[in-house]
Parts: sequence; C-alpha cells; structure tokens
Amino acid sequence: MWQVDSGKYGDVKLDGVKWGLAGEFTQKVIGDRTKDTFVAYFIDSGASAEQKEALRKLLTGPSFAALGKAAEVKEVAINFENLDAFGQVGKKVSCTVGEIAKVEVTPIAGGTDQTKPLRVENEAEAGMLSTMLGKASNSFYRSAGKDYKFEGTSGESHLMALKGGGEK
Amino acid sequence: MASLKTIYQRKDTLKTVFILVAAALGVIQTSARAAEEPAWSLEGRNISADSWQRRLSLHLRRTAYSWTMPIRRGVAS
Repeated sequence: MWQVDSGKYGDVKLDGVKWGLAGEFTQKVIGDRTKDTFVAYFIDSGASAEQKEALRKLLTGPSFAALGKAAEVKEVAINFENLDAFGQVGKKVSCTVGEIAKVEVTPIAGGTDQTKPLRVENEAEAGMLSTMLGKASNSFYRSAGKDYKFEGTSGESHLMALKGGGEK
Repeated sequence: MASLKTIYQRKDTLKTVFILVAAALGVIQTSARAAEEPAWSLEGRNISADSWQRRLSLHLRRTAYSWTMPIRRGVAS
C-alpha cells in the first residue's frame, strides 16, 4: 500500500495520494524476472477526481503493463494507521482498503543495534531506496475471486521512488 | 559451494501472493519509458505483506555468506 509523499502524472500532482495493489507471481530462480499471474489495483476514493483519473491511466497504462491485465481497478477508501511510526522497530503500521484488504507490518530489529530495523539498502530492484524487514499480521485480500491471508509471514516497509513515461 | 547454489538457484518454482510487493516494481521500471504516456513519478512509503517466509532468511543467509566467503577462499588457497 502506497502513501505517495511526492508525485505527478503529467500536470496532475499526486502528492498525498494513496493507492495499492494485490497480486500473485511465480519465480523459478531467485533474482530472475517474475511471472505475474494476477494483479488488482486500489485507488483511494478520497483523492480528487483528477488524481483518480491520473492514477487509473497510470496503473492501466504501458508502464505497468508488464504486471498483466488488471483483474480489477477499484476506487475504495484507503486509510493508514500509525504511519508516523513507519519503519520503526516493533511498531505496527497498518492500512485498510475498505472491506477488501488490510496490510499490517511490524519491522524487526537488526542484529548489531536492537534499536534499528533490519534494513536492506542498495536493492536489486530499481526504485526501491530502502526496505525495512519485518512480519505481517492480520493482513488479507479478499476480492476478485482471491482470498489471501498473511499472518507471521514477510511484512516489509519500503521507501520508494518510481518514475517513467515522457520522451525517451 | 553447494550451499551457495542452493541459495541462489533453487530448482523449485516459488509462488508468492502479495499486497504491493516490491519485487514486481523492477518490472515496472524496465518498461517505464513509454513515450505514449506523460512523464510520471511516485515517491513515498509503502508497506507490503506477502506469503514469502523465506525472504528474511534469504537476506540473513546472504549476509552470512559474505562473512564466510573470505575464510573459504583462505582455506581453498
């Protein structure tokens, strides 16, 4: 689930917009390109009409085409809780997507300094600035014929920067 | 080196379900220069839950490998 702190699509500012996706992929070898078999997007219903239209175009446009055709693109209320504690050891941050999804993560401590999260930098995936590793709890996605539950599995906090489009 | 191969070239196919998983974003970046859409950018924070129980252990094992590799080289030479 995304909290966009700074963003744009053409002339439309996307600062403060929330969005997310659910999906499924397979991967034969770690580090290889994933084969995406399902993807669905959520756009916060609280965004302006202009922002919602911009996000819809972006998520269904060429930059995201490699993830496959979206099973659904839903406008739904997206709300974060405790986002101020983002990336902090032992502190839960959660996000609800109406009644269809919830993500709740708790970063875990690193080995040398218990006050700092176990953190991955210089990631293989472009656009990922930093990842704080942790655990998921009380998380689910129930829509488009899928029923995912996440309890005690991987739950990560990411600082991200993506860009694209425009002239080559 | 057998253990290293086990870590990086697992023969089985992993299947992962996710909510906003970061692994997919590399795919987005590689195709993100399409001229038919306006320039866009997204900077911010995200949280993701996924079914992968192995990612954490993988990072730890990679770290452990980087520590032990010089010792292995020393023994080999």
